[in-house]
Amino acid sequence: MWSNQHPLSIYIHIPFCRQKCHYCDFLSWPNRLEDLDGYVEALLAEVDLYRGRLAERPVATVFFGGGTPSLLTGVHTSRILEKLAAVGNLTKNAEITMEANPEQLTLDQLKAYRQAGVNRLSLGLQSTHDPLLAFLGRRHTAADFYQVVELARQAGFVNVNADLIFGIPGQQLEQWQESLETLEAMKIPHLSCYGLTFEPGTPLHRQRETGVVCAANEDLEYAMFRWGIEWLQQKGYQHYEISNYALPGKSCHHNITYWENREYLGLGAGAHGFLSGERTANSQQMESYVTAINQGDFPYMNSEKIGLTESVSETMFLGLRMRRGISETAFESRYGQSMASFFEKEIAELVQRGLLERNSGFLRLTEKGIDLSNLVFEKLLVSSR
Amino acid sequence: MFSTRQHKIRNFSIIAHIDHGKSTLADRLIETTGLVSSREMKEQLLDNMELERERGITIKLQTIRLNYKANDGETYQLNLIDTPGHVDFTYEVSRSLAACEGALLVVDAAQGIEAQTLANVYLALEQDLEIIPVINKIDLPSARVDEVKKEIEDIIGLDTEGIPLISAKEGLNIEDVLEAVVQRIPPPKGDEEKPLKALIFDSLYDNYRGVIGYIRMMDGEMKPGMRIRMMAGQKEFEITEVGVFSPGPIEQDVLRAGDVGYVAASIKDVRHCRVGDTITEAKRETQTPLPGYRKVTPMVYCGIYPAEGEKFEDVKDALERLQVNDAALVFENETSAALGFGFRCGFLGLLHMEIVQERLEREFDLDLVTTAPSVIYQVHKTNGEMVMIQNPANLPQPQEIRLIEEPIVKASIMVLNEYVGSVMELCQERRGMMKEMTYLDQTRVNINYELPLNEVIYDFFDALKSRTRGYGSLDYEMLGYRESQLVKLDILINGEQVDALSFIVHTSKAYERGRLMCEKLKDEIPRHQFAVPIQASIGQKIIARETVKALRKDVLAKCYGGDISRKKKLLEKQKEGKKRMRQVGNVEVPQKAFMSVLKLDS
Repeated sequence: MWSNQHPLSIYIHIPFCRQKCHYCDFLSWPNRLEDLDGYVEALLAEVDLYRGRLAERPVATVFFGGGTPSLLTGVHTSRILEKLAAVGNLTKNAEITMEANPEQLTLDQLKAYRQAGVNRLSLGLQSTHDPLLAFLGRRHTAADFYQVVELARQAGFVNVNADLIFGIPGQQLEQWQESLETLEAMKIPHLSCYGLTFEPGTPLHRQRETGVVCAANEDLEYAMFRWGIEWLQQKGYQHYEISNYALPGKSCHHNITYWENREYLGLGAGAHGFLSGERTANSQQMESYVTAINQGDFPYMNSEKIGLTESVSETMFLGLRMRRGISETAFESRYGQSMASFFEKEIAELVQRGLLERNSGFLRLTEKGIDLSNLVFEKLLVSSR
Repeated sequence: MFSTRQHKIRNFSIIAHIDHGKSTLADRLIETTGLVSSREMKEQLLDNMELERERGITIKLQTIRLNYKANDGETYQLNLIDTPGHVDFTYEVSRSLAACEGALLVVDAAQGIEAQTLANVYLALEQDLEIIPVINKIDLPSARVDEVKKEIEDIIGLDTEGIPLISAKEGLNIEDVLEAVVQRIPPPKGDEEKPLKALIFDSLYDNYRGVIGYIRMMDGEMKPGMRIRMMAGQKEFEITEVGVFSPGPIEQDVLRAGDVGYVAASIKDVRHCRVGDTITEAKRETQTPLPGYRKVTPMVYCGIYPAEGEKFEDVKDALERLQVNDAALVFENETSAALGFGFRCGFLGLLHMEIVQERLEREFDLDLVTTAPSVIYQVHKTNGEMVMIQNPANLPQPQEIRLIEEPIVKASIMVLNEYVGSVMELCQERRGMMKEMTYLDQTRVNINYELPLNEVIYDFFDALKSRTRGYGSLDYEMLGYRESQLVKLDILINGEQVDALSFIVHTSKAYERGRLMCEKLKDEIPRHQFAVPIQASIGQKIIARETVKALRKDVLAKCYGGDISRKKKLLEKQKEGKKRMRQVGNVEVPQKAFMSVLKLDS
């Protein structure tokens, strides 16, 4: 069920921000930049904890996520990547992504990242409309983004993603269309389009609960979702995952690791990992994270062994997020049983309801199935009892 | 022969409105007579049903023998017989009163007399009891002792000269109460030589001794080994044990005329030892059973279903175990297309129903779905046959029905003057007919209404409380059956009729009720892949409709490495929730939807 045939992916969490955005529920510590150097030292030490594991197989992708990873200096970045290369086997053509906010990014800094080995940039744009950016609590303008894209190209980045949000309160359908049109015209090779989620604990969630902010009309949000799917495909983007679009050859390999339910290492405070059938979550406190590492312990806050039934459930709801779906033969060779042996009745029902379809050896969502994907996923959980 | 022994016995109960301090006074009497210390009392005596304590009502009776050394130097045996405190249990109250010669009427010095108190006072007067008014809570700043005295004189016509003025909470003047009991309540006047005659005023099931009958000895004597006969139940048993409560059961050699105590006779079924029945000796029967026995019959029915189908046997076991102690609870198997296998249960009234439901949930840890309560309708068919219908699903086809009669109750509602308007409005909405209105004093009014029982059993009491800011009190008794324009209202979800939601309603209210139910259900039924129409119909005619709009998008925007565990748990939780839903056609209906229609008064 678990194999180390596949190369490993590594996620590195950088929980630092200048300021937290109103909708964000990721772990980040606004305004603690003075701790960044120490944090990087801890990260380097954490890599050593996985020395044995890293020796077993090559690393094919690295992803710096946050927070705002672009708060790392070029030196930080190269030290981390050098460490990975020294301890493990970082393949030559490994995909190395850094998330960045289009704020205060300089050409030198971008060059330094590129120099360090970063070859993919994921920019948190969210919208091309400044009032909407202000509403979300973003610290940049659309113009900043255009500037950064230009600098990134100068620095040699070909592989660039832009994150976009639709369904922002006050956002018009036309504005959403305009954002996509702008990015398409710029030939941004990868786009992630997310419906705005009101995550509990965020200021945005509170504002909605207290009635200060009203969620976007459901039909409008749906229209935006659908327009994106159809229009981007017309323009040559592949809708390869529920929320992700890429020009040919530009899909994100790191994220595909998650959706194929493969293993990955999580480094940094709050990072999640999945190794040898165990899902782990690192401590979310700087202090306990650093202390554990200094004592040579894994900084886990909790861990969960994934049994067969859980693994099958995860494979289903992760794999179906991808438009190509789940390969029936790959499933069978992984679990030694067919998908039908777990879900014959459920799959038949979902096919009959027009939510699932079989397509050249893959089981995948229909267009309707994408819209109602949660209904599908829920049906395809193996009950653990 | 009238024995001198009985001169030293006093049998009495306490009549009080909820919150007027009945149990506190009982505790003080126990304490003052030195039976148990106050610390022990907390542990021993108040350790009864959790539910009773929470609701401040007595469901199962408590009986206790106290020994009191009076001011005249003599020691008296005082038997305190508790009474249940709710209109559903009027019959039980009347039987406990029948076991006494006198009663203490406890009236709150601030609140004065309440409807329910009054109802019980009338019961006591019917039994010819000596009633001693006791004004409680005189320590309250809002106490108005003189006014309350006047109320007692004016409304009930009792002399208030020299009555005990107490504070049970503070332990003030408790001796006065005990002295009054000794001096004013007459001793029993039974004949120990005559054939055995004893009144059963309560019973409960004990795992070791079988059914324990709580009894008041009227004539003769009772001892272990004696063969007894239940005069109404027509069953014979051999006594294994007799005793008194002081405060726990204490075995005695014999119980004699005038005594209050218990009898055990290896009785397996509580229904063989019914409240109100007369016990006599099998080989020497009394000529005349005690008057007033009636078999209590359920007035309100509802369906009780396990929330999870596989718990059917558990619910059955639990109901059987409750029934062992509750002769008034009846149930039989019932099957619903929507809810599966369950039970149709009959109760004395709404409170009784709620208590049983709560006990099933708390004491047996069951998750239940209950259907709307129904009364028993008498349906006269065109073929001359008459059927009793307590499940709306069983109502014959309209063309087979000549007429339907519904039960009517006489309700007496006591409120403050300022709420008379809203109470009349409420009663009018509930098809009430006003019969009488009496001003008890300048501020309080007693209003008598004739109300259809099916209007009372919904949320009448809640509505009354909310419209009178909690001050209205209600008492009702069965009046009889009356012809009425009733129809069966059905609910259709996505075109499928849901039997568990059908109910019988007066024509004039069918439209409104149908509309309200559709609205409620619309909020409770989750959105599906398709639009779900919810309709209310009478026969083939649709009278109300709502639609649960189709779900267009249910998408998790992001799912990356750090989201997987959390999202999986979310999906699992959702699936778990749906597993517990009921399938109506291809629509998933949450349990809550079935319950939400029980309270429609907005």
